[in-house]
Parts: sequence; C-alpha cells; structure tokens
Amino acid sequence: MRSAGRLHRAGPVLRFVAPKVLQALFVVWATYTVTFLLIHALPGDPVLAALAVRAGDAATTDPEVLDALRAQYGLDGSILHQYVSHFLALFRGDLGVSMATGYDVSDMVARALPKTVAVAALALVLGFVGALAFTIAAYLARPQWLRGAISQIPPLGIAIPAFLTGVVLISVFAFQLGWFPASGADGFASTVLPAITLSLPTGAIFYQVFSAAVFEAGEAGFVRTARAKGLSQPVVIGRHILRNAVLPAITIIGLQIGYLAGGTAVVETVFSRDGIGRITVDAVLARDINVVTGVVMVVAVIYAVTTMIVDLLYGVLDPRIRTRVAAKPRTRSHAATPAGGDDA
Amino acid sequence: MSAAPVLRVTNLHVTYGSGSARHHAVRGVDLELGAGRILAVVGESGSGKSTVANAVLGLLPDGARLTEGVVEVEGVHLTAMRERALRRVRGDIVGYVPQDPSRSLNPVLRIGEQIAEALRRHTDLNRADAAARAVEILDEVGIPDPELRARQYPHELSGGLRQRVLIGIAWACTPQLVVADEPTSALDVTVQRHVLDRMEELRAAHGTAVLLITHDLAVAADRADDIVVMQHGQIVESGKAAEVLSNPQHEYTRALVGAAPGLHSARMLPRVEPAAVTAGTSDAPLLTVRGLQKTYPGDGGAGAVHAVKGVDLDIRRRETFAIVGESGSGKSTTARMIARIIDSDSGEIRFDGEDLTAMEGERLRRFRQYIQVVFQNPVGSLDPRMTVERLVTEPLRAQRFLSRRERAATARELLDQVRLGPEHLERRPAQLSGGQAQRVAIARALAVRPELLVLDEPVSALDVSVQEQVLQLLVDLQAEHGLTYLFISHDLAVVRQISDSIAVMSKGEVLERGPAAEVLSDPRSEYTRELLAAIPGQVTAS
Repeated sequence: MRSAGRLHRAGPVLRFVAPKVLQALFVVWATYTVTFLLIHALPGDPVLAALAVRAGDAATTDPEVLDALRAQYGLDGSILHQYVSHFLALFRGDLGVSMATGYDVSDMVARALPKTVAVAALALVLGFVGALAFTIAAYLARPQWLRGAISQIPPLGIAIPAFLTGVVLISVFAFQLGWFPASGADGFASTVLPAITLSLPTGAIFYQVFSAAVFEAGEAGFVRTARAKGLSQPVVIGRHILRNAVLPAITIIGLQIGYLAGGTAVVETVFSRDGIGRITVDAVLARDINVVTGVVMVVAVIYAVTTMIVDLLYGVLDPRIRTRVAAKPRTRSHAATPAGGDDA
Repeated sequence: MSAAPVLRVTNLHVTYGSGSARHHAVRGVDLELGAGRILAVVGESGSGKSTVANAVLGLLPDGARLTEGVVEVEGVHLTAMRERALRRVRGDIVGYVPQDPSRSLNPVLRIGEQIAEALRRHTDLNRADAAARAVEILDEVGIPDPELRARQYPHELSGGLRQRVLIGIAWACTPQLVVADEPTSALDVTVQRHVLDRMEELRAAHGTAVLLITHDLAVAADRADDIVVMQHGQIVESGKAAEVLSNPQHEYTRALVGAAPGLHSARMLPRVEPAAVTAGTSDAPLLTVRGLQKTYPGDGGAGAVHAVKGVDLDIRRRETFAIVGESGSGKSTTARMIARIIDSDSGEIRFDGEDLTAMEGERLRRFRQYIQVVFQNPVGSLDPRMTVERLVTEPLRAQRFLSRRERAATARELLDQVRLGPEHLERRPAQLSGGQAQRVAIARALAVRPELLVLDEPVSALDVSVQEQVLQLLVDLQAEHGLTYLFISHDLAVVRQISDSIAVMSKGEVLERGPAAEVLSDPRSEYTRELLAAIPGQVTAS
C-alpha cells in the first residue's frame, strides 16, 4: 500500500524537485559568470600580475615563457573559450592549477575544506541552539521590560566584530584558563573557540528570524487552543510553538552558510588555522585568480545545494506543502476534498 | 435547578494596561450557570464578553489583569489557583471552543493527535488508546470517515469540519463546563446550524454546562436557556432567554433586539422622500448578465475551480438585487466580474445597453464612475495613511483637478450624506470605528455619482446595531439618489431586510431567482429552503 503510493507520487515529486534543482544549477552558473566577468574586467594580464606579485621586478616578460605559463594555468585562448572550458571543467571537479603554489586548486580546497566545515558546522549548531535558548527565554520572560532587555542581547553578536571576540576568547580561554588551544587546526578542541566566535553573528541572525516567528506563533489561535487543553508549558512551547516557528528559521540556513564562508577568513586569520578563508586571503594577495575562482565556486555549490535541501525539506516538514505535492496528479475528484470538504 | 451551580462568577473586574492607558474592560460581572444549561453572554464588540470568557478560562492576554472577583467551577476557586494547577483544570474540567476554526488548530499536527494529546494529558490512556479514542470522538462530533480524517492535517478539512474537531477537543475529557467563544461566527449559516446542533447534543449527553459567548442575539435566542446582556463591561440585563428577548427591559437590550436581523423579517423602508423619478428613464434593466463564466486554474491545471458557471441576471433600475450564497458559491466572483475588477472567461455584461466585457483602457476607466464597489472589510479597504478627506475625494481626482477648497467642501458634503460630521475629515482609518469606516467607504463610492453600487458583504464585519444603521443608510441613500444596488451576502436574514430581488447561488450556479418576497416565502429549490431554515432566531421571532 505504502510503496504503491510512493510510486504513484513519483511524477509530482519530480515536478516539485526539478525546479529546485534547476534553480541550484542556475545559481552556480550565475556565480561562475559573474566571477569570471569580474576577474577579466580587472586591468592587466592575470599571469603577468601573478608573476609580478611573486617575483617583483625579476618577473619574466619573455612572450614564449608567458604563453607556456598561460597554457599551464588554462588562461590561453579566447575569453569565450576560457569561459566555456573552465565551466565544463567544473563538472569534472577540475578547478585548474594555482599560479602561486603550482598545486591543483581542487586538492588545495579538498585539504582545507574539512577544517573550515568543522568550524562552520559547529558555529551553525551553537548559533542555532543559542538563538533558540534566547528566544524561549524572551518568550517566557515577564514582565515586558525583562523581555525587552533579553531581546536586546543577541544583536550584540553581530555588532561586535569577529576579530575582537576572537582575541578576547583567546586571552581568556586559551591563555588564562588554558582550556582550549589558541591556534592551529588539530582536533575538536581547536575548533571550539573559532566556532564560538563565528556563532555569535550567526546566532544573532537566527535569533532575529526565530524570535519573530516564535512570538507570532505564540499569539496564534492554535496555541490558545493548546493552552485551553491544559497542556504543560514544555509541550505547548515544543510541539505547538517551536514546530511552527522553525519553518521560517530554517529558510535562512542557506544565507548563513554564505555568511560563514566569508566569516571564516577573519576567524582563520585570528586563530592561525588552515582553511578556506586562509586560502582565499592568500590567493587574493597573490593575485592567484584560479584559486579565487575555485573557492568562490566551491562556496557557491555548497550554498546552492544547502538552499535546495532546505527548500526540499519544507516539502517534508510542512504538511501543507506535502499535500500540495502529493495531490497534484490525482485529478479533481480527489483534489476537491481538502478544499470543499463536506459539512453536512 | 437547586443544585450548586457548575460555574459561579462573582463581582469580576478585569483591567487592561496600566497608568493613564488603563481600561476597565469588565466591571463587576456576576454569573451563575447550572449543569446541563446554556448561558449566553450577548454583547457587541468592546462589551467585555470575550474578556469574561478568558477570565473563566484563566487565559487572559498579556496586559490584562483580574483585579477583583472570584471564578468558581464546581466550588473550586480557579482565581486562587496557580498557573500549574490551572493547567490540570483546563481541558479536563473546563473545555473551550474557540472562535476561528481556520486558525485554532495546529497546522503541522495531525487532527487525531490534536485530540489525543488532550486525552493523554488528563486521562490514563496510553498513546494507542488515546489515538483510538480520538477517532471515536471524531465520529461522535459527526465527522465522516473519522479514521481517514484523524490522519489528516487541518488544511485538508473545511471550516465546519475543523470547528467540529475543536468541539471534539473541548468535550474530549467530558468537562463539566465548556466555554464557547463565538463558536460559529466564522461559519456559513447552514454549517453554523449543524455545529450548534452538535454542541447541544454533547451538552445533553454529558450534562455539560455551556457558557456561550455571542454577538448574535438570534443564536442566543435559539440555543440558550438564560441570557446575560453586556454593555461597557457590565451586565445590563439577565434572565430566561425567552423572557429577555420577548420583553426586554433595558434600553440597550431593546436596541439590540430591534437591530437583530434574524429576529425581523420586514423590508426596511427609506426614512426620506424618494427623489423624483427623472423623465426618460426606461423600463429596460440597468444591468443584464448572460452566460457569465469564470474558471480559476488550479495547480498544474488538474484542480481547476469552476467558480462561476454560466450566470444570467437582470437588475432593474433603482432596485436592490441580492445575490445570496455560502462561501465558495461564486457570488463574490460574479460581483467582481460585473465591477470589472476581475475579467470574465466568457459571457456578456451589459450596463445600460453597453457591453462592459468588451471595454478596455481609457473607455473602461471612464466607465468605472458608473459602477462603484464597497467591500466587506471597511478598515482594510481604506489606505491607512490617508485622511478621510483625501479618501473620499480621491475618486474625483481621477476625473478633474480639485482646489483645496473644493476638495474640503465636497468631502464635507459627502460625509454629510453618510451622516458623518465634519469632525471626521482629518481622521485616519485607524481612528474610525468599523461602522464609521464603512460609511467613509460608502461616501467614497458615492463621490463619482455612480448609478450602480456593488456592495460585497458590506455589513457582515459589523456589530448588529451598527449593521442596522448602515443598512438603513443604504436604503435612504438609494431613495435619495435613485441608486441601484447589487448586494452580495451570505446572510439571508440581512438580505431579507434590504432586497427587492434575490438570486440564490451555489457552486457557481444560480439555483433560483425572483422577487424577494417570492423567493423567501415560497422557495423552489431545496437549497434555498435549507438556507432559510438555518437562519437563527426564527422560533423566537414568530
């Protein structure tokens, strides 16, 4: 029965999923195009620029050597040719060769990514949990002025710059208390302080969306019904308020990941960690355009995929969307039931 | 009746806010309600009746404070209890039926679970038994296919079914007292009747005491044993339902009874001299509609909704033509097509012989002055940032330039027509009551001197006494200006008071049409008979 239903739903599920996949692909393509245009709009020859940064006045200007280097870095041929071939190479996982280090960009990213993801994921979790805690505290707080005061705390997370929180955390928890290492990227302990630093702005953004959703749900008629049923406070908050409030909050996870990708640059510098942020900063300073493009593309793909997953998750979490997905192929007779119903 | 009452409220006082903004919403209310009886608390918005309900439930909103008084249920002082203890009482001893079924069920929980969680909280039933009992309860409140429905989510049920679920929740643990706060005011009349019947059955079966909060005197007349009439936070009259309604003592009760549409069947008469019929007015209908159709495409085309399926209408000059129907009947869609707010798919609309459906662009724009629309929600249809003066004169600015003085003079004149004083000119919509806002909306419609006013549920958002005043105003304006009305309403009781001709719509089709007296006294379709029978308050009125 159940498996038959699932087969029956294959069509509409595809119709629900396909546009979201196309959207994700579009985001990746558009990011690639904009990045490509920006880099090629910069004045000067990219290979020359990279060489100049590396070797200063001693950089070679021999046209043959330069051509060979261009071919090596995939920067030969017409602009259009580069545009197309680099994009196709993306699908093979080929991000080109770093001009500054000579390594494959994909290898560099693959080595750095897990360290960054560890910090970012922990920051995301801490931010989410922190925002949740503050939201519930603010929701339960009486009287009004106390609620107002609690609501003012999370925005500080975004107002205080990451390098300042980072330095403060290092001096307290690494130097004075010695609980966590001040730098490096070995083991879980080393991710804690950078993750906390990043979780503050992340949590602040979560809080803004989350608290608005919780306060709105708290005023809703169904919460009143739940309270009139005599349900206990944790059940009212957990099942009735939070389950409805998480829906808007998870929408912004995609945005948060975009933010974290940029935010790690500062944190990795402050905590002297290896990671995507460090690579990016070094690449920009070295005018290493292959690495810059590669990192931007990896972040774009992660962003697009997360947003897509979140969108799809809506179809699972929100029964209203679930039935809309499921009801599509069944024609009028069935689709009419939810709206019309029978009152007699 | 000598047994101790289930509910006793003594000298209840509730205030909102503090300091200078303090508002004394309930001032010394006493109630007594015995087992198996229904006590209706009747009043208009702002009378404090809902605050009384909230106080009984112990669910006063933030900012409201019970300053004095005692609420006792079965001899237990609820007002002295702590919140934790109250949570054991609510749902178990006191049930609650909320007003708006569309927002009162959790959208992400299954129907059965929303009943079962109350059972698990207050009884010893385990998860499986509670779920099974929830299905039984759905069956008891008259929901077809209870097992299927238990697994569905609220959005898959119609409003009437949702309200039955909520009634099921209220009675799940067989409470001694159920507080029903306007339980049917968001429902169609026929649905309202079934839902109220269901509540009465449950009350009879379990001997529950019901505190029924309602603005609708007719509902109270039909259903309640006793009535309490509230005004400005105080009880102005109380007694047996039949006595209070047939022989109201207090002035306010008399006004309410006089205004209640369900209790009166006469057509309202203008209080002004009708304008002399200008020569040359033909007998031809002002508006003829033939074969009007509209289909809304559904998702992917499969769930297309045929909102209006071939409607024919003839509206004579200076008459009030009413289209009656329940939600989803296509009455509003028809009205909007006639007003050219939405486009029709096919069919013909002729206004004074001219084909409206073919009009486009500038010609349509100029034509709009002949047909004006007044919507249901008066506050929502007025731009909150405009003053009344700008609101009522805005349609004129589409036609010609007005100097500041002309504008003020015209606005004053328009307000005078809808019986509003010039002191309202500088106000904004938020500073107006519902009735005043609707008068402003009518004045705005009159500004361009239209011939046809499309009135889309113009009074259904208003209190009964205000409703009656606005209806009377419409009747007077019609006589004064020789207007023709297309009146859209779900409420036959209101339609009866104002219309000359009636068309009854259901599921996109006109089931019957004719002179009002004929349709009302000798309905030909089964559906019209059902609608008529569902009007509350008839037993008392006759």
